[in-house]
Amino acid sequence: MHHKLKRCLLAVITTLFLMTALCPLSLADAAVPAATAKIAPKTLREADIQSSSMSIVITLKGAKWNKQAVQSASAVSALLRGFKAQSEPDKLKLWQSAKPKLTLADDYTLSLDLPAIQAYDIVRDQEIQVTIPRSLTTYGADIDAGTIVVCASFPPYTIPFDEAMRSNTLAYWLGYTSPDRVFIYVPYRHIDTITIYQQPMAGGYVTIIDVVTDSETESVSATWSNIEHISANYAQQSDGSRKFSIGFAEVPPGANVAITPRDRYGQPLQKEAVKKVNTAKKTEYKEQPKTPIGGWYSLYQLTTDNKLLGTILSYYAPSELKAGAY
Amino acid sequence: MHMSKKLISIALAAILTLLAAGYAAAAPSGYFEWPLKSTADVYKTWTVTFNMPLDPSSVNSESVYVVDANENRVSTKLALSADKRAVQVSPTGKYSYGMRYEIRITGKVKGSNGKYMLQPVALPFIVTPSAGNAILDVKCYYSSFLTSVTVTVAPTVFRVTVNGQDAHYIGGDTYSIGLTGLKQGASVTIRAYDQNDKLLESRQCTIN
Repeated sequence: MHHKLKRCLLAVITTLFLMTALCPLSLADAAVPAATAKIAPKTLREADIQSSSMSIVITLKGAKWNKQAVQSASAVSALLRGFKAQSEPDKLKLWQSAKPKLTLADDYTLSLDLPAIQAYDIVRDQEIQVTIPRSLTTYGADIDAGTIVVCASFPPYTIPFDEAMRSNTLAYWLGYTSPDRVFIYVPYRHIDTITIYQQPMAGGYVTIIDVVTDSETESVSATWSNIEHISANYAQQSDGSRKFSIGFAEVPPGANVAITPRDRYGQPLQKEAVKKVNTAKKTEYKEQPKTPIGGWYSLYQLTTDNKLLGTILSYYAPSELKAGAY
Repeated sequence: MHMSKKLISIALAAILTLLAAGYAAAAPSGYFEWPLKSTADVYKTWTVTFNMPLDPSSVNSESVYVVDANENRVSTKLALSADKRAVQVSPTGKYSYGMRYEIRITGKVKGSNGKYMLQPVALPFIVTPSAGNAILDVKCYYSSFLTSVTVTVAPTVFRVTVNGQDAHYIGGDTYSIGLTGLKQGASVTIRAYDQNDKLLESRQCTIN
């Protein structure tokens, strides 16, 4: 009992000493530096991918390539699953079907060797977000490798498409180059829908213009007879689009209003959309399909895909299109 | 209150006798603007009917007049009907084709009860080459790739279809569309509709 009391006192004294003395409270592994991956080149050209083989080199820092995993048959698929295109994802799938190869130069450097992919024809610049899957490296997590941008091919100069038709320029171009080098440009649109309501009120007409835009649009202006109304207030829609509303008390029935989406600096994002105000009924104009179709299309694409051409022509007047060749 | 209602009702009850249509140039501030009418008659006499007899002394060139699109006054003759409920407005010369005009009825018009109109009214109209001529011009450009059709219409037109497809409004009373699969010598059907989707005119056009 006496010994027990002594041990107990000793334990209390030791505890009190430890509470006042400097001592480590916990032990943990040192922080692991984040692994990074560098891609080169970060910018590719559509024409180069179509015409020649090329390599994309991915260099790791803070991690090594898993040699065994990289040399497995499924490694290319695993790597390309981490390539996410922001537009035209179907076109990126052609990279997979082209059966590219992987070459491991050293523990840190892997090369993705692409053969020429003639069918890879994008209509606008394609941004590809690259994530290296954990299964291919010794690092315990996916590694964000940034983005690759593939620049779409387009001719150095263009003329209005209807002028190209009227002047027989289109036929002339086809006389000296192939249809995949003659391009039709479909301008980008930032407006999805325009809805116009007009009601007689207080001895005049009240006109409401609702404009649904993409998320790049910061304001919308509507102009009638040199009177411009601008709205920078919008209702965010669940799909990410923005709805702006503009009101007029001056616009007469049948008047033309010009509607322009604008960026954060107030600059137009596209050519104005001109609409005729109908008093008799609410009028809704769909300005583009759900998947935007703005971009460069080769004459070859448009001739062989009649549905694509039909879709373009159902949203655009021929005078809005441009044509060029190289 | 009762008096005000009566005065307003004089203005609102003015009725033009021809078919309703669409567009008008801007009326001056304070005017209630009626939908646009159209006529092919360069000597057109318009009849404005009111809901009560008018004081004949208030119907003159200062209270009822016509202006063109440039705000120039057009010389007109006015005639009051026997029941004094309608005013006939006739030009002394010819109206011009393609020009927009407005009949202005000012607040100086007085009812037989001695009350003036509170709300001035503007009655716009356009003179087009022939009655019912909603389609003014059609241009077709053929290529083996596609055919472009551009249609210029009267301001009364609010929708144009070409072979059943809606053409795109590009401003200036002009519609345009590109069509595929047409051959030279083929014909296309162009239809023009008013603001109520009533067919105004249908025309065939051969692609050359």
